[in-house]
Amino acid sequence: MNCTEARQAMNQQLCGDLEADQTAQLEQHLQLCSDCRQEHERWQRLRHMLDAPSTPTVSVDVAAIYGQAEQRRERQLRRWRRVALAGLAVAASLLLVLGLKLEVRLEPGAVSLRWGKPPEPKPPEHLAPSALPHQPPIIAATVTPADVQLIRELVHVLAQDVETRDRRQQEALDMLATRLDELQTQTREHWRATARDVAGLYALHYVADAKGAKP
Amino acid sequence: MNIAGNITDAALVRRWQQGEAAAFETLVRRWEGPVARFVARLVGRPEQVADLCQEVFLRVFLAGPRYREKAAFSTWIYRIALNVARDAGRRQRHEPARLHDHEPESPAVSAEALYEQRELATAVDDALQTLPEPLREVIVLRHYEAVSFEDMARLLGTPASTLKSRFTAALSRLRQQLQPWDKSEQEIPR
Repeated sequence: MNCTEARQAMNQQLCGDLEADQTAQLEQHLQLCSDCRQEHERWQRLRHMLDAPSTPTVSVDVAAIYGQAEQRRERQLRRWRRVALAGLAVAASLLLVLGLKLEVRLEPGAVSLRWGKPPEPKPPEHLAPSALPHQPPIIAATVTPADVQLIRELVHVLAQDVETRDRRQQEALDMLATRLDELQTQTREHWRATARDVAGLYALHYVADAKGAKP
Repeated sequence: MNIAGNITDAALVRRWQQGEAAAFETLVRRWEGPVARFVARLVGRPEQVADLCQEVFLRVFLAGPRYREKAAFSTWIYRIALNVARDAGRRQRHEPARLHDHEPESPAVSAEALYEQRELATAVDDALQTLPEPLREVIVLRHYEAVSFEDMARLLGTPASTLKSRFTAALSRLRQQLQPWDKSEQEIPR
């Protein structure tokens, strides 16, 4: 056994895995190798040092254990009761909700389950559609060519009416325009006449002044 | 009624499950020491050990009717103790660090030896607490409780080979941390 093998053997010895023949080989090596012997002694001293702390002395109170166990069991039981009550409450709520919609019917020779809103009741035989008094069938409205023609004529009449109105308005506008032209012509003539009169008066007055007196 | 002695744990559990209260008490007395040591090394707070042990055996009592002999009773009780210690460890992270207290020692031991022993014990406890939880669990189960790696694999749900690697890794870390206390290496620091 060389030094490397001896160190490995020491580790195995620490773990308690060293076989008897390997232990003998290790001891033989330790007698020859001072380094490995010192290393081995260090491990031994360490194991010895680890035992230095004293072991605390404890006396367990068994009677107290019984009391504490009883308390814990009661606590656990209370917790389970609460959980069970909560579960029951949920189950009851579900049943209530389901019960409002679920209908169980016991009939002779049959059990029927129905979920949701009950169906609409069927009318009795004497109120069946065949037994009811005859009612005229509803016919969908249809458009005939005559209706179309009538509508077309109406549209034409309306259009003619609009054209007549427009024509009348145009005639009235034309009359107004003519009247305005006449008025404009008359005003222009009046203006010329006035200007001529003023010029005549001025000339007369200027000639009189030229003969003897200044205007 | 004294029913201790050579009766196995499995037989005691069967008698307890059949309604014999004395069998449970015998199991408690048989296992309170190992459980206390196990919990103390894992949690590192001596003042909490008594309460934690009480909790372990309360859980054992409550789970007793469900126990089946598929695994050894020791594996079963250590699993319960491990869960209690882990729960305590989680709570402990939010609490202030403990002050070391020491149990009264025998007056026959010299004052100097007593002092050294106390300091070393404190150093070992501190070193254990600095280990990551997976390494600490392995070292406590293997070194202090002598649980086999196969049982430990069942207990922790980890392959035995992984646990062996963790064990040697934990020992290496402890050796490094406790090197100042190794008298053969150098003088004990003061």
